[in-house]
Amino acid sequence: MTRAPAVPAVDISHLSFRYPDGTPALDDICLTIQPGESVALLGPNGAGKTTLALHLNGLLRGQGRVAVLGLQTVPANLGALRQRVGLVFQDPDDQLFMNTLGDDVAFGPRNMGLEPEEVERRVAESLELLGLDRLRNRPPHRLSYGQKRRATLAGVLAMKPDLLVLDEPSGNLDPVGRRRLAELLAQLDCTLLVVTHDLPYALQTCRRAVILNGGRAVADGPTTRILADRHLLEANGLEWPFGFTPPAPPG
Amino acid sequence: MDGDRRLPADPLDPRARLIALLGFVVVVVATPPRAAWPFLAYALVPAFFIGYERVSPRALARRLLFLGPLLLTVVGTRLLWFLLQHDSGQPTLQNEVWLLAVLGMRSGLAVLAVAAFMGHGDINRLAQGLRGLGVPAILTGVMEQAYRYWRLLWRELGLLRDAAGARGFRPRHLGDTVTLGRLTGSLLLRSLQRAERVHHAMLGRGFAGTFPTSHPLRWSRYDALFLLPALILPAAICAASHLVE
Amino acid sequence: MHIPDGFLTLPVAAATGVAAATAVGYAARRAGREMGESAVPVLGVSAAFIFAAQMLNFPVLAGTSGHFVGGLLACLVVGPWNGVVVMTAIVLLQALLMGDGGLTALGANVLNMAVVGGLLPWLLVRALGGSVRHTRTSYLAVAGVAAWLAVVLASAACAVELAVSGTAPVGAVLPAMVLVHSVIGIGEGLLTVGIIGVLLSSRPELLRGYPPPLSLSPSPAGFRKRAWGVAVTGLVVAVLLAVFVAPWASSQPDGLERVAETQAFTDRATDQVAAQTPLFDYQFPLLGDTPWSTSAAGAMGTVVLFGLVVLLGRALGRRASPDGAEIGHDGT
Repeated sequence: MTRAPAVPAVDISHLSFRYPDGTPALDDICLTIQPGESVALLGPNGAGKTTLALHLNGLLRGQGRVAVLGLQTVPANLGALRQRVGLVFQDPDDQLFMNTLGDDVAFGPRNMGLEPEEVERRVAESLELLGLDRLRNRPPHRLSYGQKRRATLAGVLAMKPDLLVLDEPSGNLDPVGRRRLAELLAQLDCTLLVVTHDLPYALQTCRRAVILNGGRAVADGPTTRILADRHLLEANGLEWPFGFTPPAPPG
Repeated sequence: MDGDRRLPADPLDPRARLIALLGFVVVVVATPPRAAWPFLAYALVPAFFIGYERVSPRALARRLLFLGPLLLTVVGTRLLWFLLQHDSGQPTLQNEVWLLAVLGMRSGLAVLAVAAFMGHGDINRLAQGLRGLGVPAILTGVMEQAYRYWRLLWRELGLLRDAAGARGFRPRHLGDTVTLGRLTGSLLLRSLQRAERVHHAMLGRGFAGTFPTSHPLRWSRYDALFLLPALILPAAICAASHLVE
Repeated sequence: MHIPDGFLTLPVAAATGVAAATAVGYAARRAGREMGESAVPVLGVSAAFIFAAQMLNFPVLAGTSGHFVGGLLACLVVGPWNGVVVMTAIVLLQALLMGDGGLTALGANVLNMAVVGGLLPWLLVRALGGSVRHTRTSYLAVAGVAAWLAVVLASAACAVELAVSGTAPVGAVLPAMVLVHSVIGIGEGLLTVGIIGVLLSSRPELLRGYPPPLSLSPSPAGFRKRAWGVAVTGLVVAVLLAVFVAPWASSQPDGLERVAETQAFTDRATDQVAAQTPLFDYQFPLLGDTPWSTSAAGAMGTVVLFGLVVLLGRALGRRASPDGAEIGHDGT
């Protein structure tokens, strides 16, 4: 993986976005993420988390400046950008759009114009990484939910992204699936942005946390510190699930 | 699984399957209905492939059931016509029965052939074959996506109906059809929103308008082995039926 | 309404095939131009929706039920030409993977369900859209009536194709089909009203085939001209085929009607069966010494032989299908 250390993985300044029907979604967001960081993007439903994620590979474009991996999200850069930013969506059925698992994982690498041998190598590699190699010829409708979740990740990892963006990765997963996914994310060496409202999961997977509420970034800091601040969480519609104890504030 | 993963599960070129299928059906439809034996002989060609590909009898039966409504319509209207023109006498009844038998045999043979020649219905290979035969890529792409998502939407529709049913909705008369339409409409709304997200997911992985292909289309000796009997046998039977007068 | 193989003579199949291919070819090019890379996911998911909705049975009158067709709905939701692409994709899938609808009848089925049952009533909505006041109610009413008309027109086209092929007498099949479908069409109309109503009230911008003075998005003049050329050529070829080939064909022995008039089938058919295949040279005991008996014997023999060949195929075929390989085969 070649990365110029000086260039931030994500560099957003004064980004605002309104949906076509006029609903404001993002309001003057500034966010910088360095390569190799793992950041949790926290916030209640409707806070604009997913909207922000969609800006990272230019699927949405608002007012302001967004540069990802040193590339501005302008039409000329989108092709290169989308090869380097892996976006995993909330509903795996949206992302598994091919008719077999193998073809779905191969979709990205083939679009990158790789040689068939390289495509094959990458598909085999990411299927194995996610423990799906035996299900290669399965159609998506015959996969379990957990398998679908892993399949979407396989499809993105096969493109060897430098920045991985996961939207609610722990949603609807059983406890074993959650743990396995967290273990897997810890192994990856790319920059990680996890969009979630699952606080324990954010703590488990990310060093840094950013809270988004009403389209504004309201807090940014080490996950342990942010998640220990009960008042901050409460003010932003976040809370620890019943039975969990927040970490003790550092220092 | 086979040793080499790069080989498609199906060694046949999808174009060969489509050509065999179309050829067979055209020959069957073009065979003059003078005698039953050519049609019975045709049946043996798909029979072999049905056995070879292990097509389940239940799937076959279900497919044959599709013929029901239109066959009944034709039987009904012909019968009606026959009764209205009752002066024609006895041989006509026999002719009527024979005609319906021909319709049944031809359509039944075509159904058998689709089941036999399309293999295990790999939609990607089918789409690739169609593209190879000149069908616009946009159409085959839509086919692939439709095939991917219809089950999901059907399940969602079922969930919606269950949810409505749990609140006491049972479609019984015309007025309920509008309610059913509203339920379906909310599914359409969700489907169109899903389409947006699918589009995003595709773009996110570098989609630029066409599906990248898995294995390039290439004719092989398997295709010859398949096409020769699949095309020559029906052609021979057809020729024989013309010769034997 | 899906016509299977064998119900249409080859000339009718060819003529409808040319007409359908022309319409679909034009529609596919326009869809690609208008929507770019979003065409496949948007049209694909819409097609999946219509495909699923077609399995929906709805109550019509006195215990009868019909099933949804959706040609007009497709045109209203994704726009006229895109709607043709959507319906064609569905008809193709049904013919090739589900075995519903014939291959030689593909052209006729596409023509009936996508063009006559989709594009045509959409044009009506468009034409009426200019003259009625643009209220939600009037639009829904027009859409409902057009959806009813779509089903009736499609069934009439189907009846005419069957009649021209000599499969069914026009005097009986046309009234019968139209009558049955004018009842089923009520369900189609109401369902369409319900579906469109939801979209109109929540996300009207998703209806690409909507605002009543429907503006076709502008396309380059040259492209449009060329496309018209293709369309007109296709239509002319189809009509020529229908006019010149059809009479010739119906004078050939494979015109079903003709056979009925000239040949008494049983003696010829069964004689030949008996003469060619020793296997069939016996009579079915229950039916005695009649032509029917020989036919039954022939049918029995074929069934046995069919079974034997299936077994032969199995013996030579693959042991078991690899895990998950059977994608198709109607796993509903």
